[in-house]
Amino acid sequence: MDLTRDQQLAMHRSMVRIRLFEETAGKLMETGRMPGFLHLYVGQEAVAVGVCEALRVDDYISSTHRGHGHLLAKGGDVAKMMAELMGKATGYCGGKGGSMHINDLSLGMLGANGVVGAGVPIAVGAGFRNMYLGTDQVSVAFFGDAATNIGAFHEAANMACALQLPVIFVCEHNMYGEYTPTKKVMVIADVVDRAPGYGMPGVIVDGMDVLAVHGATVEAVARARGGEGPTLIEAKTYRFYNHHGIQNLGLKYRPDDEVIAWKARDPITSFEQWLIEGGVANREDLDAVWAELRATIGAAVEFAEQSPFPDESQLLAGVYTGSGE
Amino acid sequence: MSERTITYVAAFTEAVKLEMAADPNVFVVGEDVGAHGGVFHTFDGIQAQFGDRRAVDTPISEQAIIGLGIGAAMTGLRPIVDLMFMDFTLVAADQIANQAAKLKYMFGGSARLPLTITTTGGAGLSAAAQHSQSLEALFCHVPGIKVVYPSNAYDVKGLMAAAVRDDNPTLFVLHKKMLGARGAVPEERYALPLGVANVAREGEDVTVVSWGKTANDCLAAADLLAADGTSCEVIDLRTLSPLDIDTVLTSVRGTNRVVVAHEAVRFGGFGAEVAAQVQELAFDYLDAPVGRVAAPHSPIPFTPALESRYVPDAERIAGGIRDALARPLLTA
Amino acid sequence: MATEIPMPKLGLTMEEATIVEWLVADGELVDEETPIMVIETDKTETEVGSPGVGRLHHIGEVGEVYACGDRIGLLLAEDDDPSTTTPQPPPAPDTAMPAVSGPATAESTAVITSPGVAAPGIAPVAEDRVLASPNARRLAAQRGVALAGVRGTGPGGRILSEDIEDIQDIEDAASGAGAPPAADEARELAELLGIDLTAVPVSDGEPRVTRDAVAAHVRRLLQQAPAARPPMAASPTAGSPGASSPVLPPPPPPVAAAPAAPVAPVGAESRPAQLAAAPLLQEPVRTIRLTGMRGTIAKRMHASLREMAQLTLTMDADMAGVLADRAARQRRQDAPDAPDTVPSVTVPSITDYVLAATARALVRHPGMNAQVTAEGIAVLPEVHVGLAVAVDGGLLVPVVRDAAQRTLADLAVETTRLADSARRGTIAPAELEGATFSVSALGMYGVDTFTPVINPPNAGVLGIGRLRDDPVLAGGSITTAKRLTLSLTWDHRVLDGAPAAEFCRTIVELLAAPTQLD
Repeated sequence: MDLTRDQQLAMHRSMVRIRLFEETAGKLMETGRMPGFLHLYVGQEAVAVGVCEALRVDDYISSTHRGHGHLLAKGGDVAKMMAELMGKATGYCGGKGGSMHINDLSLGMLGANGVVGAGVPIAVGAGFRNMYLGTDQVSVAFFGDAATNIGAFHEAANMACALQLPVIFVCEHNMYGEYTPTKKVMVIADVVDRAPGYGMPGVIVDGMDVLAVHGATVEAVARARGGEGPTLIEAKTYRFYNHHGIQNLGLKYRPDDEVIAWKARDPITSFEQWLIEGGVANREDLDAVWAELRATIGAAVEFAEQSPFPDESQLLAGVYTGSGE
Repeated sequence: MSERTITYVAAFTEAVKLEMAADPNVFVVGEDVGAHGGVFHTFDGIQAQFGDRRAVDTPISEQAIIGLGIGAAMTGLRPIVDLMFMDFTLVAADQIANQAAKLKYMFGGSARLPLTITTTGGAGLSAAAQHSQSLEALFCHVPGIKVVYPSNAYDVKGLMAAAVRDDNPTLFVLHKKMLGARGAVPEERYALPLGVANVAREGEDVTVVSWGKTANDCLAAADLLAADGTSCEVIDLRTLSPLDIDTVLTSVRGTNRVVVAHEAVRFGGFGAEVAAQVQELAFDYLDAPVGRVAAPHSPIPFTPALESRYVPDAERIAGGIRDALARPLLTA
Repeated sequence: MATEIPMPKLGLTMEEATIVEWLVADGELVDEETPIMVIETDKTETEVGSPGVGRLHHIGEVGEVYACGDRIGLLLAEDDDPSTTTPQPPPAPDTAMPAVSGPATAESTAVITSPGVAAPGIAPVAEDRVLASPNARRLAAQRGVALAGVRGTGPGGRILSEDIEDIQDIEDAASGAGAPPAADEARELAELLGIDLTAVPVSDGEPRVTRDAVAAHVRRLLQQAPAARPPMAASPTAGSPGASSPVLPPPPPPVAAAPAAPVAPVGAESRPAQLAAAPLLQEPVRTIRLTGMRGTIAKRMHASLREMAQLTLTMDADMAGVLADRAARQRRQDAPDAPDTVPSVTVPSITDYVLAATARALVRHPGMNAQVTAEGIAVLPEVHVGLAVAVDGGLLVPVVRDAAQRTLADLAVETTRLADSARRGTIAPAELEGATFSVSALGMYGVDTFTPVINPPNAGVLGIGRLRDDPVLAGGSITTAKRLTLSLTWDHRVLDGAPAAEFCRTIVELLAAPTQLD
């Protein structure tokens, strides 16, 4: 996996974009400028970016309730995303989906999903489509460790293997299913232990290391494109914030020292260090990226706040395709 | 000119074959749909004709079957996914009701879901409470999905073609007891519009609204009542969602009495929706409360002795119609 | 299974009838159509046929009044016991609709019952609520039918649209199965008089019931009535001294007015005299029931006085001019040299002159040619004057159409023809409809002034008094003048006193110069 300098810088930029977008969204929600639920991706940026950097724009991904990072990593437009999060007519879904249903079919992003595990069978469907049409496209199902305990995941994993579909299952193991430590509800520590049960290879990667994630994904994609069937990638990672919202310390269900320890392994900080040490970029270059993206995100907020809410005429639009309502 | 008659199930298979032949993006997935052709032979000969790429056996994984259909439909294909028994739609309820029905809307209209979910409903085979239900009301309650429940071979073929060509998720219900019923069906490819009811029999005294197998029982009930001089107009809704209430209202304005008959449980059944709309939209034309003839609020019993009492038949429907027409104080 | 025999409803305006006679004894077997009883309606007496085959059981009593639809008898199967089949007495005549359906209804509707699901049935309702289906209400409003007067045949006595249509059907007697073939004119006359067409015999050689056959049937009924009627038992609860007052009421409304007016509701309004009954201080010699023609008169006149603000003014008219004009016409008529080719001219009667003057006055005072409607006072463009005519067994008010446009001679021919037709029963229904005002003459009985009662929905009525010689002062000496008194009753809601007096004054002026009437 020989990454070019541009690729490496693009991965850095992508992670920073996610970080700034999420923290900005968190502040907007905290200050009452954004309605609804908000599940932030901060801390897990290396997973989405490492995977998506190994995909083509015509490959498909399905996502989760914590889906902003996936769409951003696939190339999502921050202004349209911010507008959607605010329920504006200019948002990705015209304001009718919100955070949990954000999507961009033109980027192959088949949607965040409000139901845990529900996106996995849909990614398998996209994989079936690729096989059916004989293309070399692949599809990726992002899901969390907790989703591997739901039936839809098992059904979809088995089906993909049974039909030998070009699907990559990416488990972001962040150690918690909402507010419950996964180790309390799942005996095995590693999700990849399940992979042999479906008949597919499983690999564990450091989810805080974008290069590791990327490397594993490149191999899995190659298998899939080559008709060798699905792969399960388990990325060990951590969400810095609470399940919902932006609180990080002082939570009853997870110890502060654990949070602090994982934050010390911040995937962006460590990747920047690697870039600087490798001579790919200097601090000033990287700071310039942060500054530029802060301005971009600020403009996105401005765009979203200036955008109109959808007209009431949109209430029934899109319930059915091809009819007035 | 002799009309060709084929069975209800053959009409279905024929429609699937014609749509698959016409559109390479149409395929069939589901449990036992491949070599076996479906437990009720609904897909007989499909794999033989189109190969195992386009007639795909799946694991017994209802969620994944529907999810496969959703993912494939969203990315450009036109899947037919089969759930064998309508009871099993509940196993895949999230994928049907939360995903397939809603993605279009949640995505701001940017997604298209040309997905047909086929299944078999209805009692009468001593299949007991998990293989006999008519759950159409559940799915009519979910915006974003269409529900079709045809009563005869001709409608099966035309409506199935329409369901496959429709760009929305459509639940297409075949009634198990009707599979062998023969009817005149043209050989050519044709489609009947979804959301258009059929006036199966014209009449003057009472409007009888039904669908699926029960529509046939209503026609039989109309025959029984015709002997007494009662003229029933039988409306076969064919599609329940979207509902063609206009055809019902037009009829009601002429007859002033309505009875809705269905095989599903009466309480919270789709008949309640029809009754409510009739009273909302044609209150001033009613001479009697909208009658309902339907199954009791109980699971479907196994034993034929009880199952036959559970499912409304022509006699029971005729009784319900007589009640709607009752003029107990009328004397010659 | 017993079959109920209800009091039949023979016409649109029929609401009740008296049982005059049971023609078949209690307990005897009867065939379908066998005449079983004679009833007296507000129009006539008629036989009622059995609705089926069975053993007749009397419930209704001779001499009693029953609302249409009331159960007055039963047809029992061979083995039925009337005591078990009919435990309850017949409903009181003015009982409202039964409030709650019987258990049979509830059972038959409850095809499916399950715990927690109430069997569909008829909820109990307040006694004063008229149970009617939405469609029946719509239809009744459309046709101007008062629901309170309709008998419901649905569950719990609910009025159905068919019940409204049945009224119309009986009226039309047109398309129903079992209705005899009948000419349209025959049907119209039967409808007008509330006669059951099935009771009218078809004349020999005719394929269907003709208008003449209906008229003959009515005459026959009217002749038979007194003889067939059994003596009535005095009853302290029926009738009232007031109702049998010898004072003649003003001209009763014509039967023909009925189609234009809604069916009067049953209940309190239909039995004003009964409600007003005071204790009898004496044993009456006889009691004349407020049924038939008397009942209609009582009802209509009471309604007229109750609903309108009626008052009467009188004004004398000098008739010298009229008498001179009339004498001249008489002379021309009697002239020996009149050529044979000239048809004989009808000499107008005094009433004709007054009617002609009234018609022209209505043109000049259109406010009197009006009718009160829900929207307000409807001023009517055409002047049609009704003329009260006594006929056998009652009164009819034929209408002189466009009376203001007719010459006196023409008008005289028309009133003669109408009166003649009315008396012979050959008058067309259309000739009894549409009066915008009416005149009534009592002068031949020596009456000078009276207070005529308005025939609804008109706004006025003119009474014509006796032609008399009044002493008058003329040039310092007493002489006589031919005069009569006009009694104008009008509805004060429509017109105030001054314009009403001006209207009457115009009539008087026209009568003073009768050449204006040609």
